[in-house]
Amino acid sequence: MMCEDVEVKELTWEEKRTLDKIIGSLEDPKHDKLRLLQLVQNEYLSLRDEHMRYVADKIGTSYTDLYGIATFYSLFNLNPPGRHTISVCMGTGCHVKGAQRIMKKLEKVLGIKVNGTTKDQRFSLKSVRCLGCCGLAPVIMVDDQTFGRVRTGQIEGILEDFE
Amino acid sequence: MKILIDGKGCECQPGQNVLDVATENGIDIPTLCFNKLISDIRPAGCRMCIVEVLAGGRPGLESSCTLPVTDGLSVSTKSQAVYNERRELIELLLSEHEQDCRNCAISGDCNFAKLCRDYDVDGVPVCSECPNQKEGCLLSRGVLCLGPITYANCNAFCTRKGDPCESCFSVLSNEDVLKFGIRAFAKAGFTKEDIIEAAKVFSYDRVKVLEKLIIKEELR
Amino acid sequence: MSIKTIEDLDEMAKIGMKNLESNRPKIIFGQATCGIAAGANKLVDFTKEYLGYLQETGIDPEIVSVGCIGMCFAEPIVDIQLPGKPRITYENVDANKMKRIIDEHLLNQRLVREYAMGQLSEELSEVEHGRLKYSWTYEAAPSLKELPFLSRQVRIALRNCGIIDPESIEQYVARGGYRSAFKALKYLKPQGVIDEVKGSGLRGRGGAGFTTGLKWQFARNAEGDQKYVICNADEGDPGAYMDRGILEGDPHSVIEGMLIGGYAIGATVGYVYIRAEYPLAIKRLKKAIERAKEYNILGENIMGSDFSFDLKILEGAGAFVCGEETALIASIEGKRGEPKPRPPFPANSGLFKKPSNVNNVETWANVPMVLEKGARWFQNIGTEKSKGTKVFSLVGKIQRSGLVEIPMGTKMKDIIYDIGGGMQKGRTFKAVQTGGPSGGCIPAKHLDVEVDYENLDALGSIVGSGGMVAMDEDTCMVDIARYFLDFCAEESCGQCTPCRVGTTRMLGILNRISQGGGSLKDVELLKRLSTQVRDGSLCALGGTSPNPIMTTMDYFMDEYEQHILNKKCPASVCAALFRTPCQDTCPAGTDVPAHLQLIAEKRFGEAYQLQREDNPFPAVCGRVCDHPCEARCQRGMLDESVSVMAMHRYCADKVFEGKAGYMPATSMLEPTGNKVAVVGGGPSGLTAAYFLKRLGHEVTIYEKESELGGMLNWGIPPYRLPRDVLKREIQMILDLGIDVELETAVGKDIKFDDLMEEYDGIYLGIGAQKDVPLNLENEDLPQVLNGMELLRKMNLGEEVDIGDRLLVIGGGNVSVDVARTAKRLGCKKVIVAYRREELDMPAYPEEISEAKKEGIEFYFLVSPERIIKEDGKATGVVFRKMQMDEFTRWGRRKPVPVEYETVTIMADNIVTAIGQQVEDTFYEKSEMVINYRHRIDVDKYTMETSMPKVFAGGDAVLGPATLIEAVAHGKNAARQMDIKLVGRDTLSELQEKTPYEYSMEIPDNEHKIQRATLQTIPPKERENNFNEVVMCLDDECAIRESKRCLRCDIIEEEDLL
Repeated sequence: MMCEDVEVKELTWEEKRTLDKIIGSLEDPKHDKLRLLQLVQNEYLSLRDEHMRYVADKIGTSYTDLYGIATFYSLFNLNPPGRHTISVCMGTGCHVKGAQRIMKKLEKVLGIKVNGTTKDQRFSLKSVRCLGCCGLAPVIMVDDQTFGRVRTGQIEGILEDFE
Repeated sequence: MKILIDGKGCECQPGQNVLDVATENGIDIPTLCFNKLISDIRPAGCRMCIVEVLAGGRPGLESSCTLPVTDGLSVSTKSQAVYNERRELIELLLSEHEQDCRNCAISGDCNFAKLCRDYDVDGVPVCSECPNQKEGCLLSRGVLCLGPITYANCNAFCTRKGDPCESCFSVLSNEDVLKFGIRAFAKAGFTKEDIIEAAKVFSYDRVKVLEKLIIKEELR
Repeated sequence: MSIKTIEDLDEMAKIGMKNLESNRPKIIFGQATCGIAAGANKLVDFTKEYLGYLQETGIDPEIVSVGCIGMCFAEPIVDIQLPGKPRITYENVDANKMKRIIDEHLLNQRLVREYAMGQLSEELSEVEHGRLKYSWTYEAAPSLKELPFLSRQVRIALRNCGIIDPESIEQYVARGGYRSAFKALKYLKPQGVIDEVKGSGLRGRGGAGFTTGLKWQFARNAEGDQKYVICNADEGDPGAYMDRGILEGDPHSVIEGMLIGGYAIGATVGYVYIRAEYPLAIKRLKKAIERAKEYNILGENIMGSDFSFDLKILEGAGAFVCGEETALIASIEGKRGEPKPRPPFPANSGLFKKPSNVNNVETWANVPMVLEKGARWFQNIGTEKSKGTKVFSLVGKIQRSGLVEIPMGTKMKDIIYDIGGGMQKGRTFKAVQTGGPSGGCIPAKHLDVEVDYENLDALGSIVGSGGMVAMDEDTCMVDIARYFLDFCAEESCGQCTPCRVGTTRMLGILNRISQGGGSLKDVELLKRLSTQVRDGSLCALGGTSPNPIMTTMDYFMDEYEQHILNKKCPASVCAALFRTPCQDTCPAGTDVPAHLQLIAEKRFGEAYQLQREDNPFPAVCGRVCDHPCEARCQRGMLDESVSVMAMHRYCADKVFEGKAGYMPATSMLEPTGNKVAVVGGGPSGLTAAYFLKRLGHEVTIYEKESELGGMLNWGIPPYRLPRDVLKREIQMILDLGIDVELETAVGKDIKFDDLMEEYDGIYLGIGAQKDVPLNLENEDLPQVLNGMELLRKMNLGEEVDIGDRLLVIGGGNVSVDVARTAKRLGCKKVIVAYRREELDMPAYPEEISEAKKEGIEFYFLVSPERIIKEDGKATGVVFRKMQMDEFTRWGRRKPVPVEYETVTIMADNIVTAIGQQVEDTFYEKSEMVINYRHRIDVDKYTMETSMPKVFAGGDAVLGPATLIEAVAHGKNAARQMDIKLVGRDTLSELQEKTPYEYSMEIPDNEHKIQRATLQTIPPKERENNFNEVVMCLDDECAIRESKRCLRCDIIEEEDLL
């Protein structure tokens, strides 16, 4: 199954134990793959190749199957994100109210493009489809804190609180 | 049970789909993705097998590979709507297709190239129907064959006999395809003048475009 | 405790009710996601801290968290409820306000009237049990039910949102909750439940609008050992958040709905598939399920019946396409969420290939009410085919955004103007986008539509999940189409060709158009692709993805054309096609930010000449322009727009005072040897001549009057536009070396054919000076004067006899000008009568207020009906009283006559000034194409008439136009004529000849700065003279004003890199 030129990292016992525990916590891990991957990601912040291979083996499915799911849903990321994730809402309400400007300002302030992570691993920048706060557009979310009616001038101030 | 396909009554069993029934009855419905073994997992992706439901179901276009037969169903496989839709699908697929027919393993035996010809879609060169890949392309023998930049639709009449293509069906307009052709000519050692001279005979109107592209390609 | 009998429920309800009307003072926070985003959590922290200080006062309020009442515009919302009294709702509360509210209201039981929005003194929703009603009410606060935002709502799905604590099952039960489930389980057969739901006509609220009862019937009829009910809470439509609102505000209503559905269908397991982006909703739903299980409302043998039902939550992982039911099912199964073709339908083969029924959150939330109040009750709400209510999320550039639940069939304009309060900051409504990426844009002309499934469908849009995004002139419709297509292309699962490739290709084309590389062929291509993608796609995501394109192309083709032919984005959105909103809005294209920056740097000469690059009338425009740029100024969103017009005037006055500093010469191109004629010496003619001369052509102006200036000269009174200012700028144009033939009327003194022979190009800039008649009897009496003609005579200083009492009919600038001029000429009483309200008057508001100061009387809402004739003289007018009716789709109220009520105004003379027409002129006899409005037909973009080498613009083409439009026409005609004569666009070359350099630093001015107000001379000093009324800004004021510019030009230029 594995291609030869792909270098697969060995898992530590610690990692194996954690993954086993996650698998064990689910009633029907073979069908509850979304939940499973979410739990793995919550644990390790991203879905690493070696973890997915191990989990796939354990629940009796293929790595490609899990990889296919991981790349299909936008919530999963294959690369580790920064310590804080900034999500800029690009919903219609926000779009009409200038979410693009907010995004550009963030890109400038952080010096990265959307879907990037700053060098110091402090921030990752993402665009999300709609946070459901259209009444307060434009909206950004840093980790799980939502900020409404954001103006470009406030961006730096908001980011200061996240180290 | 009986259904009507293009007005022809066809015997069928419940549980069958329209595509099956059509094939059994010798009615051709083109497909690009259908495979009985995996149709459950990957159904109706290419949409090429669409038919128009005329009666006995929700009117409109449906993919025949997933359309179960029902009593009183009547479909058309070649109505104008079906033709237009399929043609558009081919164009869309072409737009993301690297048309390097000359270097393609299935050249000359390509289902997609056949569809392009059937639905009169611009874009595939004579190479797509030329069998010479196996014995060696005329270009590699030092013969200036315009096949790579010429409309297919002649079933490679000349190259099949070993004669070079003179582009009597005119030079293609798709610049992506032309690009592959020009690279092939360059690789075979032909100059800009050679190509332009040869192409002038039947496609004088396309020569300017060709020239521009050659300059662009050679510069790279 | 486990619920077994109705008495058990009653017992619970009692606890809940006590809870709702507790005798402890309560502070209630709206803590749904939107409230939290607006700062509700911080406010709670602050409140707790502050209450800590107040401990010794003995006050011990309960802090309660509720869901969203839907009034997002007012978030954060805080309610205060004192024992036995109604809840008072405070809006937009911050820490300072909170402190005052606690001090005054909580401690001293005194309402803080300024912050109070209203009181919850009567029930807002349709619930049967536990209706709120208070015998005592606060006098000073309106009932929430009377607020325009809430008064038209019929709250069924949102019945408890914002009222109850979503985490309290008792409060839900107190409001009649779980009674329907109890009734169904104990007294109804499953088929009976289905019949009731079918009879109600309830249709799916998720988008497609399929009849819910029928869907249930299919699932019930399907054979299977295990069946499932599924709640689609994967609310993916950008701009829609009602499902989140319901789940966060009233999760039990969804649970109850699913329980009933499960019972009806025969499903023992339910799934709620919910977006992971809604963590709060997930938390509350989980809690609600736990609580329901505690009371045996979920689980085995529910409420003593033999029905068992379990509910599971599944978090989605961010894929829009999972909103499609087959994709959603695949996702629950743990696969990639790819849609499958139907048939087989989920009702027969759904989740794990078992019969399944998928409904969305709002549909489920409706179900308990249908059972509680019956199918007949539900039937009576809504339209013939669409029953009940629909929750819409009203967002975008609207005054009052939020969740509104209204009966189906409510008119769109009522939603926008009555409920939503119209557009923000006085902007104009352009379109409303409904139904998210699968929907379309509905333009102003269809605002009359009664919103239901069928009607929106007919307009090319859909109700969808209920997103409604209002858009104003700052929204580019090409960009909106592009935005949604980008969404669909990204969210396409990639299975089928039309959706995967088609959306990408269409997006490519739209990108090309928005970058200025589009051609008209692209429009055709888009149309074709749209139909093919619609017809050929596997699922609804692909099938509906062209809707935004198709509707914008149907209703806003002109915007596409602007992008393609004019290479301009009228809304200033598409980065490659605009510089700044002000510059793009200025018809003449004045570089406003640069102008302001040069003034800030006190380089007046350069600022003046920079403006003259685009407009030869800076000083004139600084006085009488209608300044459309200011309406689009982005500063206006912050505090108030920059006073651009006043800055033009200030700069020009500085130059005229001789304080210009360095002043670059007007750039000219080498003579070309072409000869062109300009017919008409008004603003558009003069502008054309100015540019043509600068481009190197020989220009001759033919003017039939003895002076140049046209409408500027005799249409605008000197107290608004001093004649020396006008003369000076006209002279500056003529100084470039332009020949003028005065008192030469083309067609009379010189033949048009002769001009055709002599010149290489002709520009027709003839005006509109004929009054529109009232069409009333006795209008031909000598006492009834013609507004335009009178104004002209007065402005030219001719003798006029207007008597002592003058009545002016009309609400435009001409009527106000006539009135103010008459007053200056000594007329004792001047009355202006207009048929609408003051804010509808087309005249500039500042002119109206000045007129009032000068003692002119205004009568509004009167429409002339009869001119009184006494002794062969017109002595007055009988007016019909008018009243303002409902909103028209343009966002203005329509005046309608009040029966039996008239007003008579007597006067010595009566002036009609209700509009102007173009005069019949010579060209009507030539081969020139004249349209039905008696105007010259020209190509919108090239200004060419039907005759070769003849161009036209200004009033002759537009009808009465503004000054800046006339200038813009003159400029564009000159450019186009030049292109015809020279073969390339040399105007751009000309404008590049004088480079202007100024600071490109982004100013730090995003804090509030007061807009400069213009001073006027006191009304006393205006009598009997024509001195200019408005004074120039002083230096300090002007420089400060110029620095208020946000310099949108800098940000955008960086973005292009």
